[in-house]
Amino acid sequence: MKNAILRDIISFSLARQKTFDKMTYLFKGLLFAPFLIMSSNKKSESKDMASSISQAGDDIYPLF
Amino acid sequence: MSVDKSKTLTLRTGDAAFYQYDPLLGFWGIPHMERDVCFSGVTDVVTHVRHNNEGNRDKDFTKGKQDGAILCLGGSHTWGVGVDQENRYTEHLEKMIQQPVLNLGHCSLGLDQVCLVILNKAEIYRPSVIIIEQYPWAIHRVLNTFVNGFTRPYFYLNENGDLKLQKMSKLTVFPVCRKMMGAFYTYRKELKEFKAGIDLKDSYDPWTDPIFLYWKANYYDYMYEIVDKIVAVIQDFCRQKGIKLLFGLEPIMQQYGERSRSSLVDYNLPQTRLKAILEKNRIATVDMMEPMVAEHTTETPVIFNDGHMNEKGHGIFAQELSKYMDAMKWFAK
Repeated sequence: MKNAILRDIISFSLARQKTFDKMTYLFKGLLFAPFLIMSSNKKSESKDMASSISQAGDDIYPLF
Repeated sequence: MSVDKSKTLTLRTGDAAFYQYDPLLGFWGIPHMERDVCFSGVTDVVTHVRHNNEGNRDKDFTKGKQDGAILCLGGSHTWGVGVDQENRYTEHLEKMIQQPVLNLGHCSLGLDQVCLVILNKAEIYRPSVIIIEQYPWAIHRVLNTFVNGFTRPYFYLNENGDLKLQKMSKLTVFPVCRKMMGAFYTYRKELKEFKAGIDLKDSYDPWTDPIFLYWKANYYDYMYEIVDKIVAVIQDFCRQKGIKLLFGLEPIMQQYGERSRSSLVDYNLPQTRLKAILEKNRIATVDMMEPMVAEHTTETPVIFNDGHMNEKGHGIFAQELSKYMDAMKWFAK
């Protein structure tokens, strides 16, 4: 998961047209990488949970 | 009315001059804000804009004095970009059906925020009818968590397909926190789009917006699923409270022009899918496509160049809503 996200970040940066944008997006990606990895892990864990209660967020009216 | 051009505010797409932080919705109108405004790229005419005591571009509201009114919600079309307040469809509608109409439209408001307004503010406004104006292209807003400098709450589907609401962190009250979170949300969204082969930043062309592209339809399936759940929530709430619900869908800018040369690019796609969702949820809908496109000419258009309804467009919008409500005898005397 972690490696996949880092690969995505690098590909995303390289896809920018200007060199300055490439560097900016690489910097942003590395800065946000821990949060991206965290939210990915949350999604993976919640898939394993038997309960339908999410780790974050509220149920919305009405309860479906 | 004479206008002091030196005090005229020029608004461009994304300007949030009339908006402030709101802990529930992300942003809402600044109460008592009043300026002469020039809507850059829309019209050269200066428009006077005034927000009421509730931060809405509407007459002042007093709780309890306007019970049973028609509550209109929507984005910048309802708020009235480029038109004077008295020329909006809400004001026309009020005259046509002789019932009070409240305007809670706001620029860049998403259908998800409309849902939250209804759930949280219906008790304050106590409407008999809720009209939701929707520019079909704008349903993509349910995927945006950061807009015009404000973070927003958002809905998502959990692993069971249940609709969940991610409320905003209390830290978002601080602009610097909003900016940092916003930067993350923006990056995350762009990364997701990049992985789906979508680029809305460097090479965006409104005529090939991915929301119209059949080969990108899968990417937006999740968005339509969320919209489906959101309208079901709105419908159920209104039914429980005895409030009549009506959607008004106006054509998007691209639908006034020629059809796309490629059968894989369908400007009707968001409207078609949204209508299917509304039909599935048995929600009354007025499709403005036919009447507005029929009345649109080069000499007397119904929209500005950017797709916002002009005065003529607002008139037609109100007329069609009024016709529907008359036919349904919602206010039969």
